[in-house]
Amino acid sequence: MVKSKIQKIIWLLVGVLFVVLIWRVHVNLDKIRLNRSHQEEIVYLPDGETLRWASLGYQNVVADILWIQSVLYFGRNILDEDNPYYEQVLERKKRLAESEKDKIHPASFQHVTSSQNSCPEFVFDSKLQSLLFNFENRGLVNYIYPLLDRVTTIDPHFKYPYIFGGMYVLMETGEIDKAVALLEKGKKNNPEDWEIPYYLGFVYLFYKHNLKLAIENLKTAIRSPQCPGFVLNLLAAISKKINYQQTLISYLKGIANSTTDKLLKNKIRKTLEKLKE
Amino acid sequence: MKSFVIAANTFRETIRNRIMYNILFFAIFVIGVSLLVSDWSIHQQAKILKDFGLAAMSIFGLLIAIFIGIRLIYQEIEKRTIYMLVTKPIARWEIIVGKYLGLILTIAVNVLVMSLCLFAVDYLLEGFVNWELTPAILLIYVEIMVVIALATFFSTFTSPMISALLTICLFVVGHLSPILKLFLHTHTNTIFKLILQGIYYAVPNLEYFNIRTAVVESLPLPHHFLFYALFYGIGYVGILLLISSFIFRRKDLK
Repeated sequence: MVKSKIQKIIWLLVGVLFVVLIWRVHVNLDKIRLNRSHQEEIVYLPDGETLRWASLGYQNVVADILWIQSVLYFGRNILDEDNPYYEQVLERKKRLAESEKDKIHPASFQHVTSSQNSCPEFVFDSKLQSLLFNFENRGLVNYIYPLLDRVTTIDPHFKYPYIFGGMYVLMETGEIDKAVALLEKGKKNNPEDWEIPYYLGFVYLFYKHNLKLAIENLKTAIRSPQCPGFVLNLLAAISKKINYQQTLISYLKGIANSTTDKLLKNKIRKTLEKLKE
Repeated sequence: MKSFVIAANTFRETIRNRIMYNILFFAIFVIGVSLLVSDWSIHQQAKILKDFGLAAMSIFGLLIAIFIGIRLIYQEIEKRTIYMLVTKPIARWEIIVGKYLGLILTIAVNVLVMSLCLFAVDYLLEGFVNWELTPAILLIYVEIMVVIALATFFSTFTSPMISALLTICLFVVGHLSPILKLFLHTHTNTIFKLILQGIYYAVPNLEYFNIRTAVVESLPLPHHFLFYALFYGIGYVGILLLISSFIFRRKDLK
């Protein structure tokens, strides 16, 4: 009787020991892998087309999973105080700044080199430039565009990733060409939509300084029956190159009102506040 | 009429199946969990909930269909209960049709439960009942009907294991049909083209029953698409049941 009780206690202790052991190993593995494992998963992902065919009719679910992964990857790798990996990202940022000390990023002098032939002057306002070209997370989230490209290849009608990559990620990273390519892809896949050409118009005007393409995209946006009236007013103002402050504020307000993304809304709100200072 | 009696019996029998309850419980659990998952998606909760919910209905519905469908006829032969049926004045095709109807009735109840669950969770999130999901649910059910017909067809002449494998293979090929069509356009070899064409038309194109993206993202569907897809599915089921009945009629049950 006593012997069997002792046996039971021994088994229980062994069990507890194993649980503690596994838990400790798990914690250590987490420490070793940390952010790296997440990046490895992304690096070895097959291309979007392959993923689309492999999803056997469950494209939406695969795209959603990849979208959540993109959001998590972005959130873990940007300088944000809510980011649990903030300290590590800050360290990376410092190292990156050190290695790129003498380099001038193409996006930084975009406004100088690009043709100013037909753009209204307000586009080149120094205050505006310092707000829009302040890419706080440049170089920290290099895999975000390949990820968003896969999401939108698997589910071409999933609109939000185009806007997220085309506006918010652009404002953080300065990857102008990648943002334009993503928005152009979105416009091609969703010809009935007004939001994507609207955002594309913004990027063409304020980042690429291409008035012709900006107007062309706003014209595409107003063709959609769902397009709100303010876009037409905006198009008129830009076409006439008048009223700088009001035009920009209208554009930014339009974005802030149309987006459901709190991150982008906050970013735009802050930009608007600084513009009014 | 005799088929309906068999169908009622099959329904009573399959509705008590423990595997089905496990899968159904898991499907409801997944629909519930997708509400939590969608929270990480930056304002795309409703879309992700609907995507995951519809996919869960489809996947778990198909699992129930395959696991029960493959044993439908085989089990009767194995347990020798088939002799009680064949000795009665019942045609063999009536047995096949009855069994099939019983199982699709069971699946209908399952799909209904899962749909109610999805509508309820979606209501919690969106604040209204999204009836737009109904056509997608209807076609998920038709797809399951086709898969049950395939499983029934295979179970008339092979073991459950092989039936399951063959059904899953055809499910995969059925969803890759658009690729087959792409190959048809790109290849020049006539014989190869003929073989591909044969496979393309013989295997059910299950992508016709997939309107989940269109429904969730409110995309317009081609005119009469739903009607054609329903007709295609029911027609395919009819052909499979006809061949299954023919094979079963010639089957030596000794």
